[in-house]
Amino acid sequence: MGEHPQMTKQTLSILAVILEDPTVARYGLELGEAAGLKSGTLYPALARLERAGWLTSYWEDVEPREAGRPRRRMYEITGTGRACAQAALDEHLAVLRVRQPQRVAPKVLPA
Amino acid sequence: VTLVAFGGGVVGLILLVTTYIVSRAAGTVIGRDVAGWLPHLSRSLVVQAARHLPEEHRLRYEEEWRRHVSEFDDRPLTALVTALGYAMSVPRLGHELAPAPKPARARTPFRGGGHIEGESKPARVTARLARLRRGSRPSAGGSTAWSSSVRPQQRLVEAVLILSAIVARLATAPLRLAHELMEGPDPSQFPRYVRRVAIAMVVILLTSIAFRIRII
Repeated sequence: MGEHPQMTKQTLSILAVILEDPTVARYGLELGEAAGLKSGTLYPALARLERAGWLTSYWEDVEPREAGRPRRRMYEITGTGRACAQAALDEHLAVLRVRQPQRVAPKVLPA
Repeated sequence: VTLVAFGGGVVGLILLVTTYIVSRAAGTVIGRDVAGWLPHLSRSLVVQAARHLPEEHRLRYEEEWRRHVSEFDDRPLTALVTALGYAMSVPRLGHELAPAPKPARARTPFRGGGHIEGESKPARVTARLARLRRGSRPSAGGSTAWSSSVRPQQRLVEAVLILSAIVARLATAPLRLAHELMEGPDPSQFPRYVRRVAIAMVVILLTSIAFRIRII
């Protein structure tokens, strides 16, 4: 397990996309498009998260001829990563609520 | 005068149509060629970029990026831009993938020049941060030089605006030529007409290539 990764805007965007459905593994291009990141900024952020142990990656187990496309490198969030990412996003939102309340949707209070 | 204007207009029209046909044909041929070698260029770029990563990660990223680029086979320019993005990310990615540095040894205090006598290091750092926030250099002396005081985003916007103005000027060259010919051809202005035709040809040629490699 590596050290806590630096929380840049790019890293937070990737985590937000992954946490939409943490059970789904996604490939780099898909993550980049969903997070609105260019190819140049995506991989350093992914490498940082992988190094910290928040993400794991593996080659997709498909036959390229059958799938009709090349096999992809899939990225999946780890158990630790899931908890840490959620905490990091919550912390970021809390800071935003204080500094830029107009950019954050109001908290829904329990009835 | 009306007859001369009419004659000039007809000559201008014929010239424009000929220019369009010739440039469009050349653009199609060149565009097909460019579209043919762009995917190869993208793949080479990715392979070269991956070679600059730490050795244990090269194969993985080369394969991953080549596969991504190959997903854009029908959009060669997108593939090239994606490959360029990967190439540009190599320094940062290499930094992320590099093994953690060894803890630095204690160093003797810096004794070099470059700071005001009696000014402590935290004060120097604070002053530098303040200068960075202002976007100026200490030697600029309050200068508003474009290179030092304008933020990168502003520079980009200005560059785009200037480029758009140049493109607009080039694109209207055929129209200006037609207008000048309609006003009555002047033999002394022949070099200018030739220049306008050449610009029009280049504009149409580039547009055809852009269509061919699907920029537009």
